[in-house]
Amino acid sequence: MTARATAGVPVFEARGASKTYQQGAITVSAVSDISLSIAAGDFVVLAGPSGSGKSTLLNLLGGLDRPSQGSVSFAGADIGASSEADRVALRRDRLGFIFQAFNLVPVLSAFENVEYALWLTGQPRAERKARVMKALDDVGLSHRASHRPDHLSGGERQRVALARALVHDPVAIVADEPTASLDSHTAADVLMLFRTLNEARGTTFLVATHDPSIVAVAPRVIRLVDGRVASDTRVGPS
Amino acid sequence: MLAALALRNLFRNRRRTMLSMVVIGVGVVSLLLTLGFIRYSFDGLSDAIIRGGLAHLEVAPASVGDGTGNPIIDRAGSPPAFHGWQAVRDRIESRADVQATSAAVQLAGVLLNGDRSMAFMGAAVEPARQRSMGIAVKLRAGEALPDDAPVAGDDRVLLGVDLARALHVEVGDSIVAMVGTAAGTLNAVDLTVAGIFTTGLQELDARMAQMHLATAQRLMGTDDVTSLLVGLKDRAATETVARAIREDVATITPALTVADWESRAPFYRQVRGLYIGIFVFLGTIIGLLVCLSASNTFQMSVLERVREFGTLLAMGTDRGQLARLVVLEAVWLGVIGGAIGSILAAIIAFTINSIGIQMPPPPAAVDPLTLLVLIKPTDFLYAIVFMVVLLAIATVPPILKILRLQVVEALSHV
Repeated sequence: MTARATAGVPVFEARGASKTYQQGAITVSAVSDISLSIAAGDFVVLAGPSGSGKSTLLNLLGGLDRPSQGSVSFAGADIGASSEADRVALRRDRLGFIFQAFNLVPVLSAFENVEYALWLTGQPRAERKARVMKALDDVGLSHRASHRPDHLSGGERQRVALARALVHDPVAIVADEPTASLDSHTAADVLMLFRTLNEARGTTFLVATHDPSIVAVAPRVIRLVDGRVASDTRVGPS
Repeated sequence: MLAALALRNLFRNRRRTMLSMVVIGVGVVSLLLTLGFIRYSFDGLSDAIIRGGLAHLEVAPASVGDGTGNPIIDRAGSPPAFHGWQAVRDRIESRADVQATSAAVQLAGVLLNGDRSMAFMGAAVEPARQRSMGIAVKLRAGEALPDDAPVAGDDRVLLGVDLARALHVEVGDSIVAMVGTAAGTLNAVDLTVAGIFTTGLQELDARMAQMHLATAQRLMGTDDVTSLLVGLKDRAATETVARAIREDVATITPALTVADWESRAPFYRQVRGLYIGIFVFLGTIIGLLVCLSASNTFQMSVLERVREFGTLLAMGTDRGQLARLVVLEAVWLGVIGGAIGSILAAIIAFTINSIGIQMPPPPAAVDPLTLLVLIKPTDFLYAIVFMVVLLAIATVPPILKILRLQVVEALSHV
């Protein structure tokens, strides 16, 4: 179902990517001249203070936004220049998203929230059920499948969000401040889960955060300052 | 999955959804009750017209009449010209779908009571045959015309209530009727007032008189009639039978026309047009109210979920799917609100029909009207479909908003 990244071709790549916004007569530069490459199976953290451009870069790499200048590609395809339909298909089939506020659909149960991502890909109901239960099991939440988000703790919600992002077996997970709404203990659990899934499945993780505990354990950290790459540090093998 | 999600979304803000359902329900109740009352009025009026003397069909020489539509007025000035009507009657009455036929003469002249005189329009009938066709005279005083043809000197007449009042006559009084004969001369006959009746319409009550066919033929010096009235077993078959009789009498000369009751009842057509106009007006007002109210509901609902829509878009939901989601919410709202309104309408209609509320007589009518509501099962379906269509239209503004939504902006929406 899901096309994996081609070996040797970077999953994410930016070449001189910039993003500017117009605020009245003023042009605000969110990120400037970003060039980077992220290989399949990497666990990469985009770190930096608030306003450094982490989320903007994440949106560009995740196909949620288009660069004002330069190019952004996914598995070799220029997604900045691709059609809306192609970008929708990319996000649906090859990427998984995790948000700071979990962003679960409140009227759907944990099972249904995860199932929705599979439904989008056109999976038949029977197959959906098996895969959703497997995804919930992977994040340790199969026993909470019928609960709605408002009956789950913050950590459980983020696990459901992770299951939702993983259930269709994406090439990469794009997470924006995934632990910001969690206490330190729960955040550590979620982070451990990310690392385990990254290592076990080889799924690429691209995480924007200013959480020092994530930054401390990340194999590769790209620091942004004022919308530019200040450093790109690799700590041991990913 | 989208349908289930739409249904659940509907109950996120229960108070707002309930309010919308109340608006839809009240709209459906109003439409169904109005439609039910109008249908009852149409049914009652058409039945009154048919049984009031027009019958389902009329067969008459094509050369008679000036096309005004109402045979009573239309042909009253012309002498009877239907030759050989008995043979035609036999052919028509041999049909299984025909209840009975009655020959009729329409005439016009002057009625005299001493020094008082009034112009009248008369219908000469065969009382027994008319009765078997279900045509009944609404007597206010006296008795109906005798079934048998009266002998000369024992001729009787029924007068419209206002005509009798204008002539200052009562049941049992004698009056003189003066009409033009078939030969073009004047003839007069003494008539005894057997009864006083109402047509249900004030205009006609001031002009109408009714006598036996034999009396009119004697008065006009002819064996011919103006037309044959045909009563059917089933009103719904009127068009079919009319077509069959038309084919059956097509070879007869001089040519005959076969007209159904509706084409001979301009009053019915006017009332029908008026009622349909009222219903369309009411439907438009209700439609606008529901549409505006629902549009506001959907706008609010979409505004509250911008961030969620952003999430769904980020996950790879396309904008068409989001638009379908909103339309499905409208469909659910229309179906549930429409169903609630339909149930309420059925209960109210049943209650109204059980009580039997008396209404004042309609314009130009004499008798009070019992308020009844006739709702067909298909009406409920149409009302629900109408609401669903209205609500689907009301989703256009929020859907346009969704189509313009930017994912990144939506995700940061607070």
